[in-house]
Amino acid sequence: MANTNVAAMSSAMVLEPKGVQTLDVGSAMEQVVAALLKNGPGSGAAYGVLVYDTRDPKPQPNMLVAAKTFFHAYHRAWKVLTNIADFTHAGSAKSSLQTIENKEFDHVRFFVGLATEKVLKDRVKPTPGVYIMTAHLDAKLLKTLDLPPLPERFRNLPLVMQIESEAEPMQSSYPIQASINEGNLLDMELLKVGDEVEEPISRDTLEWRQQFIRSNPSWTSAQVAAESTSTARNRAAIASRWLREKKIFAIRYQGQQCFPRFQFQDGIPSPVIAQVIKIFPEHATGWDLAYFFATPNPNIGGRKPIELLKSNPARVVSLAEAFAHPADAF
Amino acid sequence: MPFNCPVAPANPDPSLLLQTTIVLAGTELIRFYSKSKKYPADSFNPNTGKRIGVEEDGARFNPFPGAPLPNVPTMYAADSLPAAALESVFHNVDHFPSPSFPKMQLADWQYSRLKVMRKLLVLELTNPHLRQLTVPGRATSIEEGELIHSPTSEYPNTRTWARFLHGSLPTLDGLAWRPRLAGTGWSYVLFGDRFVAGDLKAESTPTSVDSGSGYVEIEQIAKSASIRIIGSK
Repeated sequence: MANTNVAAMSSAMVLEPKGVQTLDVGSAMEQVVAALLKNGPGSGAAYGVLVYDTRDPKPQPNMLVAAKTFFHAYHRAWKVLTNIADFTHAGSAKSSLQTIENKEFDHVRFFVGLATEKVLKDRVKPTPGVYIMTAHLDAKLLKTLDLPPLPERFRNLPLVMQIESEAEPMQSSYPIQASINEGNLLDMELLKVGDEVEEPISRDTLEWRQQFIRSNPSWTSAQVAAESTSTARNRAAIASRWLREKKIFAIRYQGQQCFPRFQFQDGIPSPVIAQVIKIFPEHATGWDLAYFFATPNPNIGGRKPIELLKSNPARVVSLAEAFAHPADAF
Repeated sequence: MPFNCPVAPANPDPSLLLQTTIVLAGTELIRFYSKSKKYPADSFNPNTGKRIGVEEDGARFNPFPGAPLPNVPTMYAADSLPAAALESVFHNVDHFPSPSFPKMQLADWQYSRLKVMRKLLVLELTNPHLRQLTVPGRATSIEEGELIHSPTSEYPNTRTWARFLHGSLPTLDGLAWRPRLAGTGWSYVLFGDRFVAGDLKAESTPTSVDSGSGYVEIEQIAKSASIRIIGSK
């Protein structure tokens, strides 16, 4: 496939069941196009294509590094996909190509449906980033990889997800030989990168969080400021100040920082929240605090600690002690 | 309908005659205990400051007062890793479909293997052995379900039975029961004031359960009991 943009890209990598191979961008993009080609010979089995920018170091064909980039890209696209509310695709596979994109999608784009080679070459441009051919990722494979399944309405469709490298920094040149020789260095490197973005989470954790979000309204930092009755000078930054002072906690959901509303009373943090945060260990996260407050607690007959915030804050503190230090009784 | 646990007789009964069981010297036990408290694997939890009447201040059968100390020191252990984990780490997990468990709490636990160096006298809390135990104000005996399968809200009442049995049987080393969430294996609570140094011997260095092989083991046990571990990050 001849393409005028190819010169801007150094090379590409194709992820297949058997491993990875480095190709020129044009040949790699043919794998992407094949997944959406009307009356085509059927696409290969490639899971994804990684396209590198000339600014990226020359990629080494390393399966683990490519897989890591792929996993992060999948999570990023999946998050956007789960938020697309009004998508319908008439007649599934037979209808023509739709491109779903939006500024808020954070450099993620979706191509759904089939088209001719001409249309595809015109619309599916190679830009640095990751292309994921979802038709080759069956439910069993996704489960094995601990990747969340696609939302129901996007399954069984010709779908390619494009995650531009602005959204997903490309991991191209790990000193892989040196790392293996130095024991666990590779693991540490991967963990370090993982801290920068939200870690992949298990399905159980995700489902629990979705349930939490549905049942517990949260505010953004702007809403915290708007609802605040504080007379502080810099009201716009009040949420981050309270967070820093450990008067409130935040959770991260779909890339957004949110503040569960039950922490506030008349626009300011309930004092008991700070007391509970203080009891929790340093390694505890906002989600741990959210779990404590909003989960039925067996010590109070299955009621939730948030139900006692006003009526019995002292008991909430006592429950927090037991929750944060469960082994103390043993 | 969950079980409730009635309150035990207020005073010990020195004439009480019960069938007890012996745990042989050489038996290996597994104990889950606090990582942050930093006491040795073979030493008992002093239960300092814990209140018998407050659910979250302890667990089933603990704490309960006993002279000369305000509370009798105790230790929980079991004859298998699943039994030990289910009666300690997961002791609060409700009997619901797919109950959840916060991964954060795993960081507070560790486990060690202990060897019993002398024979121990325990009371099995199963119906045959409980039949001679009457409940004040009713005709029927206390039952296993009431002591073991009652919810956390009944913990204070289960502690009254530990206090009563500990006070009535001066040679009793502890209580034994079938784990609530497992059905097999034996769990124990041992009474620290009946032990001297050397009765239990730590067999291994402690294993953490929030990462590495310890986490793999715990995750497996959770799965076997349909418990969902909910992540922190």
